[in-house]
Amino acid sequence: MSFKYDPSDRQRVRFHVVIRLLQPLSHISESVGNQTNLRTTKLLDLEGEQTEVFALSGNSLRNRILRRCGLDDFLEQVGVQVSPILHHTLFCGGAIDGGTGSDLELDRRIRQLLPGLSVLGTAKPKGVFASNNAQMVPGRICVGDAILVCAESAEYVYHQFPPVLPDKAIAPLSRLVQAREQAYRQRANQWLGLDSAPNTESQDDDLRVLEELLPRATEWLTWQQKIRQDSLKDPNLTRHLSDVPLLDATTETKASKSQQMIMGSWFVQAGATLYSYWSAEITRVEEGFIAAALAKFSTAPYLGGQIGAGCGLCTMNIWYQCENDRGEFMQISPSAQMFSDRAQESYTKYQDYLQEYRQFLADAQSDIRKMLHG
Amino acid sequence: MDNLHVIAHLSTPLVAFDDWSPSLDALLEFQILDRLGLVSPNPTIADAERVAPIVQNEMPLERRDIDGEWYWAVSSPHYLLLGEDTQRYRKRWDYHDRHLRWGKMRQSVDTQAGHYKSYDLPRYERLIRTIHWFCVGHRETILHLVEGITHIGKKRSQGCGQVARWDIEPLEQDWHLWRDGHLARPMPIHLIPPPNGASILNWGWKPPVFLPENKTLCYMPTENICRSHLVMA
Repeated sequence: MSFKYDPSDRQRVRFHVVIRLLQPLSHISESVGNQTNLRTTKLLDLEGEQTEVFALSGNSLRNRILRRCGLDDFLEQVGVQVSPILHHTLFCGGAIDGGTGSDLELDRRIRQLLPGLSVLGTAKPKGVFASNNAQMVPGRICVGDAILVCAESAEYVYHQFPPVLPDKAIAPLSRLVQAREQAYRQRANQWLGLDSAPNTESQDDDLRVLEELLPRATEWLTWQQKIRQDSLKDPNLTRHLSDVPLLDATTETKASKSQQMIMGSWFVQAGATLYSYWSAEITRVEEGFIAAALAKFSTAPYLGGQIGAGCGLCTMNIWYQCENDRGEFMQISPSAQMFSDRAQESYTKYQDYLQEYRQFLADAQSDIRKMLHG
Repeated sequence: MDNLHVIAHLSTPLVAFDDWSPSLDALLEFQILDRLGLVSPNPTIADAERVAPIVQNEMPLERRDIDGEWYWAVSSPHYLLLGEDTQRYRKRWDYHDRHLRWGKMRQSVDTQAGHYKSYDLPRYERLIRTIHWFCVGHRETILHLVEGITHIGKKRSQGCGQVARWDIEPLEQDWHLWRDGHLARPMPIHLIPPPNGASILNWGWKPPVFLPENKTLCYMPTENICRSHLVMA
C-alpha cells in the first residue's frame, strides 16, 4: 500500500466548544433511592472556596460525538463491516488481553489507515490488525468536561474562553482573577520559603458586580418527578391481554402487587450554557475526521440521558486556535450545520483521503482489507 | 545551567495516584522523543537503551552523579493540595451494531466478564492551582519543551491535569535535592544519609520510571505536598 498521507505531520489545535441547551439536560452521577443526582465537579469559586458545579463529562463527549458518530461515519463511507472484537476496539476503546508489544511501525500503520482511531486512541487486543501482540495506541485529543457557565465557574471559563461570559463581567473578573492569583502566589511562596509582594487591595466591589451579572449554579437546576403506572392494573389496557384475569384488589398477593414507580430527577435547565475545552495535536486529515464527526452529530444533536423523554437537544458553537490562526470552526443546530473555511478545508482533505481509501479497498490484495479484517 | 523554579498553572484537577508524580524529567524526556517520533507505547530495556544517547544530548537538565550513579537534577512536584474529589469513568459495549459482521459467531457478547467486560472505575482527582519543580537546567530549552505540554498526570484524554500556562523563574538556591533540610526528590537509600521522617519505597527514581532497572529502594520526600485543605486559594 502506498498512501501519501503522513500521520506524523501534526499541529496543535485547540477547540473551544460552547453548548447551549434547547431542552433540559440529564447527566447523572449516582442514584440515592429513587432520586438521581447530577454529575458535578469541584472547582475553586470567585471567593477561593471549593464548590461543586455541574459538568458533562469529557469522556461522554468523546464517546458520544467523536467515537460513535465519527467512526460510524468512517465505516459507512468506506463500506466495511467489522468483527465484534474490532468493533469493540473501535467503538469501546478495546482491551489489553495479553503481552504488550511496542511496534512503532504498527502504530504508524494504524494511524495511517484509521485516522479516527489515531485521534481517539485504543487498547489494541492481540490478533487485531494482523498483529499478535496487544498494544496501546495513545490518542491525540484531550476532551475536557463541559462545565456549566455560572458564577462559580467564572474564573475557570475566564481563563479558557472569556467571550462566553457577559461583556460587563470581563473587566471586574480580570481584576478579581489577578488579585486572587497574587494572593495564592503569596501563600504558596510563603510555604515554599520564597519572597513575594503582599496583596492589599479589596475586591468586594467587583465581587458584588459579578454576583449580579452571573447566576449561581443552583439557579440553572430544575427537578422533575415522574411516575410509571402498572399497565396490568389498567382495565383499558388489560383488555389486550389474553387469558389474564383482571386482578382483584381484595385477593391481592405479594406477587401480584402493583409494579408502579415514582422517581425524581435533577436536570440542567434549557437555556443554560456549557463550555468544554478540547486540545489536540493532529494532522489536517484527522481534523477533517473531527469535522465529519461533528457533522454527523448535527443530524441528531442530543447530549446526556433521557433523550427519549424530551431532554438533551442543544446547539454548539465551536471555535479553534492553531498557532497564530484562530476563528470560528463550526456551528451546529438541530436544523443545520455550518462549516467555516477552515473546517471545510479539513473536511475536504478527509473526504479526499476516504476517496483514495475506497480505491485501495476495491483492490482485494490490499493490506487495508487484511488489517481491518484481521 | 541555572537554578530554576518551574511552575505549571493548572485549570483542571490533577489525577495522580501518588505524591511524587508527575516528574518533570519524565515529561521532558517524553517531549524530546515525541518530537522525533520515537515514543514507544510500551518501552522495553532495548528501547530505552536505543534512545538514551538522544535523551542525554537533548535533555536541558544538569546530569548529576553520586557515587557513580547519575540522575537528572530535578525535584519531585511540590504543591498545595486544596481539595480532593472522586469521579467515575465507564466503559461498555456499544450496542449500535450496524457495522458488525458476526460471521459464524453466536450473536451475543458477555459484558460481565472477559474481553468485552464493562467497567465503572473511580478517578481520584486532586484540586491544585500550581505545581512547582526545582531544577538545575537551561531555562529557554525547558520552556520550549514544556510549552508543548497541555495536560499532565493521568486521564489527560478526559481533560484532567490541563495546564493553563508554564512559568520558569530563576532561583538563588539549588533545591533539586534538599529544600530547607527536607528531601525534595526520591533518592536510593545507598546514595544519601537517612533524612528525617522520610519513608522508604521501591521506586523508579529516573525515567522511564516503570522499567525494573530504574527501580530501587528509595528515601521518599514527605514535605513536598502541603495537605492543608483549609488553605484558601
